[in-house]
Amino acid sequence: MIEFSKVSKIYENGARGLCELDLFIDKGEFVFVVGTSGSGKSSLVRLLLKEIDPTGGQIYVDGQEITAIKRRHLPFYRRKMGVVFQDFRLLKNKTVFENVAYAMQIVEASNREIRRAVPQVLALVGLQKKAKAYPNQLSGGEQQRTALARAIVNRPPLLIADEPTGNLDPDTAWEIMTLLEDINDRGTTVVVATHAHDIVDDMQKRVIALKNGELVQDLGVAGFPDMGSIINET
Amino acid sequence: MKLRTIRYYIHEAVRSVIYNKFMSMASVFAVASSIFIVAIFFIIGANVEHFMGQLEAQMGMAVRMDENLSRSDQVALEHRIRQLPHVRDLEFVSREEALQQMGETIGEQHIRGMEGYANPLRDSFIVELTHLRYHDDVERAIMNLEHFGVAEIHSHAQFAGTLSTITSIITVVSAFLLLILAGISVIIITNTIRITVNVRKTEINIMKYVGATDWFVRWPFVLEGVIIGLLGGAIPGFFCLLAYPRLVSAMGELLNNDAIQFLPDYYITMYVFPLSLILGVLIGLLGSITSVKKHLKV
Repeated sequence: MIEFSKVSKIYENGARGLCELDLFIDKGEFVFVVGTSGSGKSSLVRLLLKEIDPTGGQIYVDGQEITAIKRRHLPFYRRKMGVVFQDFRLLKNKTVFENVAYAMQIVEASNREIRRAVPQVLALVGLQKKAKAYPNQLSGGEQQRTALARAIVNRPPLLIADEPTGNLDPDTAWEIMTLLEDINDRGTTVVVATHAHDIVDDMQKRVIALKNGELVQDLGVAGFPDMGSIINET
Repeated sequence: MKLRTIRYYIHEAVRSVIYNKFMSMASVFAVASSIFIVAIFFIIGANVEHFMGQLEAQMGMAVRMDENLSRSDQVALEHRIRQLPHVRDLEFVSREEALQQMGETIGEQHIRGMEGYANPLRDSFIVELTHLRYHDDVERAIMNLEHFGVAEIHSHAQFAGTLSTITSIITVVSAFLLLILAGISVIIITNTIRITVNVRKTEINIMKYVGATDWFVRWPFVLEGVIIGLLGGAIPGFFCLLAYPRLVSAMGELLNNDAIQFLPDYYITMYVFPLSLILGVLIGLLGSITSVKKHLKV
């Protein structure tokens, strides 16, 4: 699904984002990307979103070399993935329903399709009763669930979550993680960049640890002796 | 583009104008006030040119004819003068009419006893020019018709020249000022719209991350700019439509001078109102397209 081949990113101010990173994430995997601030996990997410381009190496997503994608084709590439951010990034002048529907409107889905799919996905994230609410009328968890609903409504094969629980209390954070796990169980590849030690420890998923832009650990599903110490080390 | 997508763009644009009502109002008033200034200047400039045109029309030359010219020769001469380039119109004034006009100007008592054979005046043509700048050319051409019965030409050559120069200067200066004013308005309004779009750059970023194409993001903003521009253009347009006839009537009473004729009301309906709308739409389009462009590179 995702392949990084000797990918480097040096920013214009000389800061190192990633350094010759080799990485492979298979279809249907659930992967945590962990590391301290400046470790390179944000660069990894931004590269996947093609918000920035690497200074070296190649990135393949679903078999497509994304560094070669032209700007005008970028929206079509982004439609293959759902994205969830720490700050939710909802359109504040749209209701929950409209925020989710927006992702379908940009792919020119019919109104009938929208009316069918949006309630289904809102039910999946437990927001069917909040469809008419505006983002400022929702709690942080509800806003993140709306963002999740928007991210998956077009059934993308890949879901990227950048610190999805960063602004949430522990209980709500767990709800979101459980939802991400459910989405993964339905076949979607999920990549989560996070600081949340306890969640990473408890969920027993593959963990990719970065430090100074380099891969320092890539732990499989089994064997997480002390996840907290790995994050602390990085 | 699918019909439902077009409907979506229009819906989003209208909704956004309403949702961001304060910023929309600020933009509408910025557009309206700028276009209002441009429109007022345009109306004043057009009226000044109109007055000058009237003055020019009155500045025609009088072509006096030989005393013994027959009626058929007069008609032939009239035809020849009409054929000359830059002659707009020709009016025959008989010696009796000329005497009567003279009496009205200098006083009836001064022309008493000049009627009939004692009338010293001659039949003449009053020649109206297409533009005063052709005065000398036309005068020379008419002089060449001496053997067809032209006795003398009475004109205000010097005054005509001065008036022609003043008209040209006014035209150039008003066009220049109008251009500067329109340019300043565009800058002010573009900045106002830019501020409104800047406030919504997060919104644009989100749209881009979700996979919206540039035009999918841009269209609602463009239509929003058009709506703001239309409203901003309609306000001064309607104001001019309503105020101009009243202002002209008040000025007419104040000046109490039939010689000064203002541009008719339909000039506002035909030119100023559509011009305000077009200018508003153009400004709205320009402002929204340039402002959104900056935030699309995500």
